[in-house]
Amino acid sequence: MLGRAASGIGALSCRVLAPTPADLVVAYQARGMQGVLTGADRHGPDAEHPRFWRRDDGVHVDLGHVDEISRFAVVARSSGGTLVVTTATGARIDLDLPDDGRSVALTGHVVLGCLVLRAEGRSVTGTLRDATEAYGYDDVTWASPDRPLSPSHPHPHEGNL
Amino acid sequence: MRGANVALTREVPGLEQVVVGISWDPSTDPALADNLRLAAILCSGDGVARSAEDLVYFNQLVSSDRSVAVADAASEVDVEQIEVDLPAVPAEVGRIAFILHVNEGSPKRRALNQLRSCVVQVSDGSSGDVLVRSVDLTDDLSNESALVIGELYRHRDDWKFRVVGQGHASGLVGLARQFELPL
Repeated sequence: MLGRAASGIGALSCRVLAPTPADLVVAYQARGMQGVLTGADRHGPDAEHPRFWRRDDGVHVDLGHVDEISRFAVVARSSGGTLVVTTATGARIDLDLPDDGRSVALTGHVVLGCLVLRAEGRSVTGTLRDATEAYGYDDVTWASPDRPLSPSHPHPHEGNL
Repeated sequence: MRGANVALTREVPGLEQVVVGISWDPSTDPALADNLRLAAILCSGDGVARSAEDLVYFNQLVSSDRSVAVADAASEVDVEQIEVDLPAVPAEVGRIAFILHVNEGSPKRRALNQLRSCVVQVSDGSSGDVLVRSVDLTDDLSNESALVIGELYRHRDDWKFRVVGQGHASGLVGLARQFELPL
């Protein structure tokens, strides 16, 4: 658990050290909205106010707006390797990833301003939607079981109304 | 001006509530405005913080002794404010530094020199009278991400305020290290 002081400074960064490329996905709840940041996205919930974001080096959580964040889960698809989680204030966690397949590697909850991280290390079968819904992210709109829509994306049927 | 000292409690005998506010040009880049934060660090006269609870900012709104707090609502002039209850400040706290910094957790990297103006103002929390108003502090900034805008400090039996305007490129984390704030 990070204290209130460290929980609001800089970014929480997640990157994979592995011999083969790995995918990182973040399911999140922020500003009362749920969303899933996949490899196809750079920002979540939206580009104007990105609280979860991706660069080539991994995915990042903007702790400078931790007051808008309720929780998140980091999902990895990898062939082994290590998920390295770091903060701007120097904290670091290394988590082993399973040899094959998808796993929910890490969850984070903001409790009274403190960021509580938990190593999950749970392999999951099925689709990305199955994996995130198992952790309570069941208010996400999906174009397909592995392709979520951004929370700021209009509902697919809105145009027909 | 920078370095100017004002003996607050000598100028206003009986002064107890002080409000330190910061204002900037409203036409500032929205991505910068979204990531600007005002913070305070309580420390000894030598500039050493006692614990992580000596950082007062958006995620820790009040110091553990309740003497320093982020204000609920800023005034028409100030965008962000921090209030200090002078009699409640513990004796071992000799200095309170006020810091404007850019949130470095955002992918939209900005620096303080993108501010068009930045002025610190110190007011009497009871009467609202302005006691100190700085010049524009952005003049000498380059790529700094944190700025010590001023400090409230004890001098004998008085509280004084000094406008500092010292920029730092290492952000709030670097300043926290400078004040030996354990994070």
